Amino acid sequence: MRYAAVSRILGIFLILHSFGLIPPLLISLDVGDGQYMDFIIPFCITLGIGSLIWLVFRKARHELRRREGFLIVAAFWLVLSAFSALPLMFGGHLDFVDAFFEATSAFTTTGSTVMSGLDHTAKSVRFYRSELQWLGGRGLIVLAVAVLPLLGVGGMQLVRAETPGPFKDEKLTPRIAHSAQHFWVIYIGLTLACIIGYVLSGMPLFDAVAHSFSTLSTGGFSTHDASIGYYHSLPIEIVTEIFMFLGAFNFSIHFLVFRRLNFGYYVRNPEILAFSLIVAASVLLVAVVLYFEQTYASFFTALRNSAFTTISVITSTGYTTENFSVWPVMIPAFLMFISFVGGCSGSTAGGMKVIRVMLLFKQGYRELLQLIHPAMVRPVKIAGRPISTAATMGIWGFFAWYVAVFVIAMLLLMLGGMDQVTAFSAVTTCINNMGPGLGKVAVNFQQIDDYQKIILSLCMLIGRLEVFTLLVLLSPGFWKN
Amino acid sequence: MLDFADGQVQLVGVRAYYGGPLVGNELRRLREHMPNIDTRVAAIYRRNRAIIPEGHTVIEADDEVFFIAAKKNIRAVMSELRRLDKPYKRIIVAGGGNIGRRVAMALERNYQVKLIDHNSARTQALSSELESSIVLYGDAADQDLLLEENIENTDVYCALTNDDEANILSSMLAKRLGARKVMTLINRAAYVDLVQSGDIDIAISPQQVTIGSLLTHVRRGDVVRVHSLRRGAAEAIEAIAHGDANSSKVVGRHIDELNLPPGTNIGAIVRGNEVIIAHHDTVIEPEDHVILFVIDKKYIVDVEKLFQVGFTFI
Amino acid sequence: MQFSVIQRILGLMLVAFSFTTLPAMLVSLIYTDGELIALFHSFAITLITGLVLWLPVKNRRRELRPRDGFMIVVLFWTTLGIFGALPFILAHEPHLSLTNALFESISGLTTTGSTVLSGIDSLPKSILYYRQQLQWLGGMGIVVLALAIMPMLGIGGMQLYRAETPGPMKDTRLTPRITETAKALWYIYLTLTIACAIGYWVAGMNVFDAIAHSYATVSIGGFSTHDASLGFYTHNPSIEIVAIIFMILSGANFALHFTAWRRRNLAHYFADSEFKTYLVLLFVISAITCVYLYSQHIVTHLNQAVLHGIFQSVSIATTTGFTTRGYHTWPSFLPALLMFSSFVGACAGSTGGGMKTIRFLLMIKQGTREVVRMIHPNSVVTLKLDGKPLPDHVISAVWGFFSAYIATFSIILLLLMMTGLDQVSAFSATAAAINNLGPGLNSVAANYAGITDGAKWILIFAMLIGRLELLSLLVMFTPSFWRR
Repeated sequence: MRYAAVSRILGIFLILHSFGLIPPLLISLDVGDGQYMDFIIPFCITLGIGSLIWLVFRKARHELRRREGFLIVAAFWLVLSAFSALPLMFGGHLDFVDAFFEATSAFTTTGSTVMSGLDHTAKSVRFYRSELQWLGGRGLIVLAVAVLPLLGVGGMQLVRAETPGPFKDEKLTPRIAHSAQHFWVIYIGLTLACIIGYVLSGMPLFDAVAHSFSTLSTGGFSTHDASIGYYHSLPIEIVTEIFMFLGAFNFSIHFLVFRRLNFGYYVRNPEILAFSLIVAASVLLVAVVLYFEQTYASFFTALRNSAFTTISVITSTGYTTENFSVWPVMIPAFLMFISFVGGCSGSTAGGMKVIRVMLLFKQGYRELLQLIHPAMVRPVKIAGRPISTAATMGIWGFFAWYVAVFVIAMLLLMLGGMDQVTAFSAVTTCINNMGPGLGKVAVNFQQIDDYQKIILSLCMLIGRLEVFTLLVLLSPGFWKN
Repeated sequence: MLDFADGQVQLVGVRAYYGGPLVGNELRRLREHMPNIDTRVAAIYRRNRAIIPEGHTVIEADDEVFFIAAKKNIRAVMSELRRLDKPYKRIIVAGGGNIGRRVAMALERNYQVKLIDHNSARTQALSSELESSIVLYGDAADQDLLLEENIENTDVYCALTNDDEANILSSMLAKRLGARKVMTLINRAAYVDLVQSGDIDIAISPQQVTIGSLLTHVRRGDVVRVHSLRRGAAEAIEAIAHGDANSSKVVGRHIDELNLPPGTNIGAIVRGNEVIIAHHDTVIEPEDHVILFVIDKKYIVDVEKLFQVGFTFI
Repeated sequence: MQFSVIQRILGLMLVAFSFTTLPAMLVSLIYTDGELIALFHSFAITLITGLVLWLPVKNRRRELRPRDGFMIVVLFWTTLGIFGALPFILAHEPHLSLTNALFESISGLTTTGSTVLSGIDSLPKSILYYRQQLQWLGGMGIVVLALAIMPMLGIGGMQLYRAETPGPMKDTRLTPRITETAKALWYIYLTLTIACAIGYWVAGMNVFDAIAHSYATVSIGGFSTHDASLGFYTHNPSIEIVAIIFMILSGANFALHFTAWRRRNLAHYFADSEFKTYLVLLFVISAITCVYLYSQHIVTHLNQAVLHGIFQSVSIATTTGFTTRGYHTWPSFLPALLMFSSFVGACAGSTGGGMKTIRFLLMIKQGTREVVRMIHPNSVVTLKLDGKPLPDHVISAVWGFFSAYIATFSIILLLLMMTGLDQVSAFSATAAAINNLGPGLNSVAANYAGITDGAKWILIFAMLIGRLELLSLLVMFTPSFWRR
């Protein structure tokens, strides 16, 4: 393991990350909410530590290998989450565990919160939370489009071939640098479009910027306790729906579409197609149940609320207009289940990713056919291309670990005295990076204790890093030379 | 199905079954069945004897009818006939070599195709290449495998490996287990007659194609391609008309002016990229590819002579 | 599909099944509880239906194909389930509705042990006996199914066991294989049952209860002749110990019992990695349960905590479903832990339910291999079980089974919630049904009488699908299965 090289990069990350504190600092100064010290101190700490690390290891310019890749990815999210917690400790008056939970939730674009009374919180702090999600989303795109396929996490090597651009290079650094440039342009472009959309549909500029940050990153932090429900505005809901939906698309497909100006790529991508079908079916199902259970008087209202909530849940954003945890019969549980599907691979969304779910289904069906034709030889195919056994095995392994982590985390929460529904929904929402839960965590996560918050923070990280990245670090083979 | 003029024209032989769409129809009625498709019946074989097809000829059960048509139309002809015929649905192909693979690829869209091969690596490759066919790894002569795959409900069993003996034996097994129709690829001519009387419904000889290309080089006259039909009893010839009205016996003449030997008729003419289905008043031009159907082999020489260019042509 | 052959076998099964009401009639005679006529009627109906099915096609003896195998397996449980419900409908007491009777009967035959009955103690003895015997018969069917049929059909990676089926099994044809296996295994099954009955009797049960409970123990069923289940004998710890021993034994692979029996060698058990994993899992879960029970002061005496902890863990983890104390009243962590452990279930080739320890073991191995592959992407690691390499297609079959299990579980859970059940009850009811466990939590903790008929039908389906290892039922929903 080349710790020096890893440390050097971590130092650079910290330095870069510290500049993320400047916009909220400016806002604080502009509004004059007196919170500017809460950003200056963390800025100095982060910058100082980052520079120190960088200075010590600046000579360690080694080419990175897979192992360092795993370590950097894990360290990136863990360390930056920890440092991001500082302003929340100072400015949001949270204790460390709460601040860490909030920062991890933001940085992993989950959107679970321990804060309430948001409408009275300082503007700069509110902006900071949304900005953190946006930064997390930005890191995530690179992670999801370039790093994870390269590391072959959970069968994601099958997406590798689809990554556009000059990515034949198998070395980590140039690949990541390239994809970063390409995809950030699109990310920023979409964010701008989203801001314009919000402003046009009547949101104040500050809210528009903050919300577009957490919409594109499918994060779900809002500047209001009532989330998007604060506005009671159909246009705003529709803008949100569109951009949540786009944020859950594979960014390499966005890239192709924008470079070649051909929207056909969306339609031709089997994953996006499947995703759209799942979303449409779920929205309809929820709307029909809501209507027949007479939760809403008109079918239109049912459809409006169902569309918003379902898209918000399946893209793992977690905005709410209505408190869906009190919706009738199985809808809350159903929404929790579909959040496992999540968005497309290579997006900012959480969950297991549509492509894996597609492959799980195809493989399951293949096994059934195999029972009827025991001698059959048949690879699983996506868009006519056969998927290698290594990739399919990777996906099975991913699924099993996902379920295993889910069960263990749920039991650990219950060991701390949580009831089953709350534990189930809390783990679901955190591991899928979604946001709101059911039961005691339907509105926010204030009521749970520190031990449970730490477990849930870990769940968010595990879910964000696609399980394997953290799991690898726990295996003894990883540390052997 | 045979190709002429680089595949622009194709010849199809169809067996008329009792109760099938062809039986009992006059040929000109057949035209009415397919009003938009320019096709021509090149020949009819009845009880192994050729009949010169004419408008009022009535097709009987067990006749073998040869259609000639442009490639783009041949599918329409086939599907028109198929639409009327009781369709085959379930097909098992044994042997995933080149022939088996091509057959499966051509059929898998419209049929339920199962392909058996005994080479594991080969099955892997085939299964990623084929769309909806079910690729099976195993021995085609394995009774349990065939039973597992419901051989008794299979419409067509094609044995297409490159091993004659294996093909014959697995076909016989398939027939005995209840396959409706078995086809077998047989390389050795000696075997063809051997199996003809037995269980095997159709013996396919690759020589039918390869002999054709071989003969092309041997024959005089500019005969591009000769296909043997009915194991050599008849031939379909693709010849090129050279020269001009003076030096050639065919160029510049109406078809009914030609001095064709008995039992011979012209099915189609390919001019450049255009396919013309022959009518009595069609005029042959230089460099036309003329597709002829010769019922009796002994007249082939006459056909070749017909297409020879006079000495004046250089 | 060879329907006439299937019909013949189904007819034969019904005829054979009809005779199993005779012991219950004998019990009725002994105790003169007045259910003789009801039992005789169900005997007659079953026998006549069987004969009607069998006689017209009795000479159709053709070799079975795998597809017929799926059909027969599914029909075996559904048809016998339906006819097994007759006494519950016809009897004066309990006189159940069709849905309830079917629920009870399927729950018995699939050795689930969920019940819609309450006031069990006061039911006629013959009906009680009949319920227990239903589980015992179901268990017998399961052993044959698990050891002879599933490996042949290759369901969920079970082709692994193809070579290990006991008896002179070189023949790969279905029919002789099944008969031979059945013979060999019935002796073991019977011996275990007799040993268990004697054990219970020595420990202090009366003869009727000893026999009845031994039926439910060896079949990993969990029906009891008392509302309080084994808690009825709560003053007598030796009964719990007997139950623990026989639950563990019946949760082991019967092929192992067979080999150990034939070679007169117990070392054979400990050479089997599935059996070892099974014991380790039981130990770990019991240990957690005992420690939690004692440290949280739910049970005050240490030896009580240990006994109840082990008993309840073994009972749930092997998917038996006997209870002593209302374990559903324990803090929700323990019920959830035990519910999850029932997903792993007992060993393959046993009468237990769940996904089976062998699959769990294979998934752990494969999951670890994937982590190794992350670090060494070009490594070639062959998975081995007891030193034998596992082919990839077996592993994919196991994965396919696992994901189908999770998917089915989620769908059934949501459907149950549609009928109005709360999430905890729905979760536990689904787990209890699909894993063939028995008791649930919350509103289905004591019995299933309180849920709607729709929910009962869903659970009947869940019990069947769990018992038939999922894929053999799911395969019937694919169009290719019916394509000729």
